[in-house]
Amino acid sequence: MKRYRARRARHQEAAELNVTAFMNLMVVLVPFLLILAVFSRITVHELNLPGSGVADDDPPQLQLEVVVRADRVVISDRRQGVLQEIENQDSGYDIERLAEALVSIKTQAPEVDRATILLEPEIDYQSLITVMDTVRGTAPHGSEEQLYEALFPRVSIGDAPAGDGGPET
Amino acid sequence: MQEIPSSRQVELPESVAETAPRETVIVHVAADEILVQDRPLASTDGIREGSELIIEPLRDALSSQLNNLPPAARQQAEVTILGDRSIPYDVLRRVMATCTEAGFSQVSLAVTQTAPEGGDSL
Repeated sequence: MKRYRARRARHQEAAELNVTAFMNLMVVLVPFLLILAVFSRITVHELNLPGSGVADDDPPQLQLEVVVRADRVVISDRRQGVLQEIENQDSGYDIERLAEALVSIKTQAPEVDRATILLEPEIDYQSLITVMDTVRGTAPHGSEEQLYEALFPRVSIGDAPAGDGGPET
Repeated sequence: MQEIPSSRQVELPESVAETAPRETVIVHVAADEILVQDRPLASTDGIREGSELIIEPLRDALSSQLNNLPPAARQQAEVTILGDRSIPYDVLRRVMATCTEAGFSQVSLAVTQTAPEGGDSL
């Protein structure tokens, strides 16, 4: 019996795996796969479509419109007309000034939470999303403070009125 | 949260939006063609040339998707548009109009979330 056990013990020792080579492989492979992994996450912007059943109980005193044209962004109120025009910079839309203007409008009318973005047909989708981010109130390029949190979260989309910018510049 | 297939042909615009996508019908608007649930339907260039607001093949495909939904879900039917960042608003507008025409009352636009520079994402 003793002899049998001794033999079995010796047998088990022999069966032990040498994992060193495997560990070396893993040490290389894990960081490599982590580098390859794409840390992008898909999220969505929900839209308020006109006529989606949300009743306009009482129209707020400010009906904010952000008109995106090829060369500028115009902030206007449906009743008062143009509030501010923001010319493009060389790099494209002046998102920072747009955000500042929207923040100052929001401080004057804190109860307003909806806005309409009106676009010309040739505006590309990325610009739409960037402007929408700004109007919603999430700072476009992650400005230091979350100052712009929740400006006008209920965003609708529409067509920009024809003509080049309404009132003269 | 829904697993949205990342597609080679569609480069989503970047945004800081944080709403997670839900299980919905998906419309891909790539630079060259439009697909519903990965089935190609129309070419994007053809749509740009045409002038009609409603894209017929897309509407038919969406209507049949709507019929596949359980009756309770039809009232609040949702659709997610995965649009390439380069497509003009003109095309997007027609796709959205077609979605509402087909009976989808909730439209979401899919974007790639970018980390705000200050904080870290994920």
